[in-house]
Amino acid sequence: MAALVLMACTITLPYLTRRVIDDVLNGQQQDALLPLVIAVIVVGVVRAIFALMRRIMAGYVSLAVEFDLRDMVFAHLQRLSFGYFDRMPVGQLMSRATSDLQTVRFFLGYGLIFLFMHVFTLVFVTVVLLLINVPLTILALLMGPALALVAVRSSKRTHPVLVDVQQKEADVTQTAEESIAGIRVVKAFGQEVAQADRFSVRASAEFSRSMDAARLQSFYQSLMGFLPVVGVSVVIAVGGVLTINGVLTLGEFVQFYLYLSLLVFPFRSIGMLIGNAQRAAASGQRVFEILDTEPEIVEPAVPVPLPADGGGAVHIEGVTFGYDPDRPVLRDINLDIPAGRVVAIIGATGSGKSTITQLIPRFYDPQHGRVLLDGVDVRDAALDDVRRAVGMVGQEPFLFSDTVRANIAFGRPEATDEEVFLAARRAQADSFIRALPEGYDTVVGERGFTLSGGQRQRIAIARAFLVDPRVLVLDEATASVDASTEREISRALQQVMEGRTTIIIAHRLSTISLADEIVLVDDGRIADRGTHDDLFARSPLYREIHDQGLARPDELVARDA
Amino acid sequence: MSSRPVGHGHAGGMLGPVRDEEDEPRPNTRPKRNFRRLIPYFRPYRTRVTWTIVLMLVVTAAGLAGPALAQVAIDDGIQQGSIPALVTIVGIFVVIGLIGWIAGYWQSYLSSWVGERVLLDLRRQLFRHMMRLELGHHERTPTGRSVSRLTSDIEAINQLVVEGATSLVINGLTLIGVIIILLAYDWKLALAAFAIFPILALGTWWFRVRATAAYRLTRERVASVLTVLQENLSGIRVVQAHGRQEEARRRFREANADYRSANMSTITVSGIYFPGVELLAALGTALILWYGGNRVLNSDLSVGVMVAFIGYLSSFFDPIQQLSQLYNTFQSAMAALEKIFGVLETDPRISDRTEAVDLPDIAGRVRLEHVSFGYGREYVIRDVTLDIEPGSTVALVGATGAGKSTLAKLIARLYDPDEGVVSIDGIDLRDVREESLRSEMGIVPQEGHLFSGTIADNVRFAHPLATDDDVRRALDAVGALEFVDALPDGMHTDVQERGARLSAGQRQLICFARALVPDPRLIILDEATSSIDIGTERRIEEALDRLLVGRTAVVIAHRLSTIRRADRILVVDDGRIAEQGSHDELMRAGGQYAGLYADWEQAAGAAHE
Ligand SMILES: Nc1ncnc2c1ncn2[C@@H]1O[C@H](COP(=O)(O)OP(=O)(O)O)[C@@H](O)[C@H]1O
Ligand SMILES: Nc1ncnc2c1ncn2[C@@H]1O[C@H](COP(=O)(O)OP(=O)(O)O)[C@@H](O)[C@H]1O
Ligand SMILES: [Mg+2]
Repeated sequence: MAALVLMACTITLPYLTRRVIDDVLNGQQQDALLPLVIAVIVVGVVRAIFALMRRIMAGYVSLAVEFDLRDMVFAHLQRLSFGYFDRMPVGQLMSRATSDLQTVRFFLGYGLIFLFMHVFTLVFVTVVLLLINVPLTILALLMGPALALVAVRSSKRTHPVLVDVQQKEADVTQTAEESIAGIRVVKAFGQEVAQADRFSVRASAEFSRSMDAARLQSFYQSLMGFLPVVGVSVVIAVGGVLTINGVLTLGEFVQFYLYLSLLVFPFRSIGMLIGNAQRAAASGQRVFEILDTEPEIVEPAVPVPLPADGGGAVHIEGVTFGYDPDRPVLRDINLDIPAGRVVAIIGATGSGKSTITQLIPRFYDPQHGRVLLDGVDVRDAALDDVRRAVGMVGQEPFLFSDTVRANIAFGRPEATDEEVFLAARRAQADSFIRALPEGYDTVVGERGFTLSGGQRQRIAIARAFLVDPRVLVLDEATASVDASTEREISRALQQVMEGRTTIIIAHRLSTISLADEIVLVDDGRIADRGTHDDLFARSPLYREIHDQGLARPDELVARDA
Repeated sequence: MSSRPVGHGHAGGMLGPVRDEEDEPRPNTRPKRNFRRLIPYFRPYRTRVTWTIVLMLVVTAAGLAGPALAQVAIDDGIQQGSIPALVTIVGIFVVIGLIGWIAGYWQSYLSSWVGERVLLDLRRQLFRHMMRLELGHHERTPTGRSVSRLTSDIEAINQLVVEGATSLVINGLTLIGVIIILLAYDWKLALAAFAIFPILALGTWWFRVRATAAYRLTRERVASVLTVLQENLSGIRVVQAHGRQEEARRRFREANADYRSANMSTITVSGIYFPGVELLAALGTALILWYGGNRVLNSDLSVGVMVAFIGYLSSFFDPIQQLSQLYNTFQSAMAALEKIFGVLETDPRISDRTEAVDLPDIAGRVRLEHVSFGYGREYVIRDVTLDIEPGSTVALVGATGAGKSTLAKLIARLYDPDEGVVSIDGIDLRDVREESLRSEMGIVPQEGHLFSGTIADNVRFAHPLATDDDVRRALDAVGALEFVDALPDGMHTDVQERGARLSAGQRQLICFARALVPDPRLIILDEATSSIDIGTERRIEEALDRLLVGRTAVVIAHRLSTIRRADRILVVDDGRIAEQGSHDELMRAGGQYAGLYADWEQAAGAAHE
């Protein structure tokens, strides 16, 4: 609406000045000068007011769109499954949620309005031109189809290049993100310069692709600037001849010419705006790609509740799973873990130990078979229920930039201080936390105090303890903890494990010995299971592991000799 | 008080927006200076810049020639009734249009080229500088913020340089041209048109004051959005595992909304300014109509001049509006430049001294003399003195947080000690060129960070010239060859970001192989096998027995089998070396190590119970 008023004002202003020339200065209505000048001022003021409204409104709308889209993207990302994030680098996603969205906004905020205004000018002026002389107008507007043709062709050719430019930009973002997140490794190997070269390669790739785009856009934009010149010259030539032959009066011709020249600027800008629109479309496509990705893991419409009194029984039935369906990592796994049992999973690196545990909280869905938690297929239960029922302490604990307290309470923000302290004490973390500069209020993580690896692991353990899950999974959770501390944690574990199912993945005997039962995984299959003594008696594989790693130090000495 | 719910509203706030900017240096806030600093970046491309400007002149001239030619066509062609003259003029008109087209194409392409090229240079320089900045800087700066310097800030400048420069020159030239023409027609009337300039200057000053702050805030808020996003995506698995998506979403929305409101204030400021400029233009028109009109009526001015004047009026006000529009982009770019130069001005604290030397062929004797070091105010390492014989293996043991990794990092010169000297073969590490030091050193850090790319790329990270055979040998030495060969593309399999496609133990193996490729004299293993099963670890150790002959090794581990192999064991306790000696010596001494050993023994016994 505001834009319409604005357009009207913008067109009225030249009209008023013409009136001054035609009526006043030619001496016909000398006293009309003052009213006309006042009219110019009034129209100017009205225009300014509407322009202000237009700008603020367009700005607001475009910002709101940007905000909403970014919010939607983020919310959608929260719903996407682990598999998606395995494939999609953080930097790529960051680039889409910022740079691409900004491109969309710039177009919506400025481009679209101007495009609209220019199109409006076109229509309006065309009508005026038609009123003056129909054949000449048709002749002049012949450049219209030509322009449209060029515009269509231009967007066909530029669009893929622009999509690619945005992709290259995302590659740059990704390399930047990765290098900065991995700066320790870069420095440890003295690869600062080499890494800068790698970044350079990416940045240069973006540059050269941008130049491809610039070449195309420069060509089409300047062409679109030139076509109106052709139109105008045809009008001057034909109109001139008509005038000379007396078909057209000189006044009509001049008027026609002046109005036609009003069209030159919009035509030029439309070329540029189409360029912007293409950029926005390319970026929008990348944003919508995220939004269109269906989460692989979806909740059932009517979830089955987990039995309230369930003790955390886990049944894995005939599960075959591969991160890539063509390459199974787990093959026909059958595993029954009764409620309250403590099970240790051991096996070679990469044999699939972690993968088995990742299926229980439904981070991934198996290709065949099913996983039951307290008798309920995890695919039938609400995701939140399942995830809350399973507490995972991963191999590489991730801490957020927040206080130690909030990190421990991450899974249960409503926990009291007492509960937090208790969980920390059980994870043998309380004393070192209290020694931190601000104790439990010390900010850790990326923006805070850097903890040593073993300290991070203990905070992650406390985090899992606090959630009080039915199934507790400790995936090499004490690998970076020294033997003495580990013994303390193990002792505490014996209390914590009461009344819940515990799955331990470990390589150290001290940890494995906590288990009632040991499951031996080999190359994605369950090779054997039983108590320590069973396995020791029966499984050569287990004996080998035992002999190599679990041997007492003096035996080692003896063997070395 | 003790039952206070936690997790909300703490300083910083989980996944919360970063509002603090105090660790960002604020060396200068004057846009003019920042702008001037940008100019040298254009110097290498002088020729292209010159061509661009020449072409801009052509484009502008071609644009201005149109109306004049039309005038001639009317006067000399149509009014004289001469069709040949008309055709000639129209021909010239088309030819000039063609020239404008070609010049326009090259001008647009060249100015894009120069702009993007300058930004490429700036971006590379910025990244190189970031890589050189000390670790402490990166520990204080969230990754997302650094990334925003390299991406969204660069983009803000991009707009100025690529689109703005053209607009500046063309509109500036047009404006100057029109001013001259107007003055030539009638200087009094021209001065009336110029009467709006003082008011314009005043408005622009107001805009500048307001906009500078608003744009600076916008840059900061973009960085916050990126920071929250980056952290959240890195930790998305934890968020989902704990069902905290809603909370994460709420926090992100906060950062997003902060950004929107900062942006809104830039829009409000410019929303007032630009219509104001347009209003001034209308007032200027009114002024000329009134003053000029009266003079015409008094026969003081010819109608023709007045008509021409009015004709040129829009060519006068349009560039002014365009230029003020540009000021917007300019402000935004200046805020971004300020941030970027802020990073560039940060001093990389660890940098080579000018007299730094290349490390000669070393034997590998590492000495620490009265070394103290702390990350913050408190010392983490206190007055440590130790001497590692060339070719020997030393194990560091001790509780987590005792300072073992820190000692290792000091030896690798990832940090410089606050007091004391770390030396290799008697040469202070600070006198050695960093690159030559690193080439003698292989480190397997505790957090094995892999980069996206193939396994082979990662293994030859420290030594890009290594052949595929070298890579295979290293993988074989750590017992990783088997699983690597089983992957679909062998060692050319993409591991995905941070090695997401591998298991944690496999990642450690790759990190291990990576450290071996440069054939280092000094090897530092910081819990390099913590996630690796016993069988594989044993194979690695056997391989190491061969590999470590003649090399110095510092090993941090919690497994007894690993520790026992060391020639000497150092027990680290609270930043000090509490005990040192061989296994037997320490056992006999009956101190901390003997206590640790008892724990191991008990644990080992537990399994046999
Ligand atoms: N996110 C993933 N994407 C693809 N492959 C994976 C992923 N995680 C693990 N793998 C592969 O699955 C296999 C089993 O991994 P994992 O269960 O982590 O082993 P581990 O027994 O050491 O815990 C390994 O070969 C690993 O390369
Ligand atoms: N980058 C860092 N910034 C601040 N403090 C740190 C940093 N790295 C380690 N620390 C602290 O220094 C102490 C020693 O850590 P570290 O040397 O990693 O211990 P560890 O003996 O387990 O290897 C710990 O208290 C840890 O919290
Ligand atoms: Mg694992």
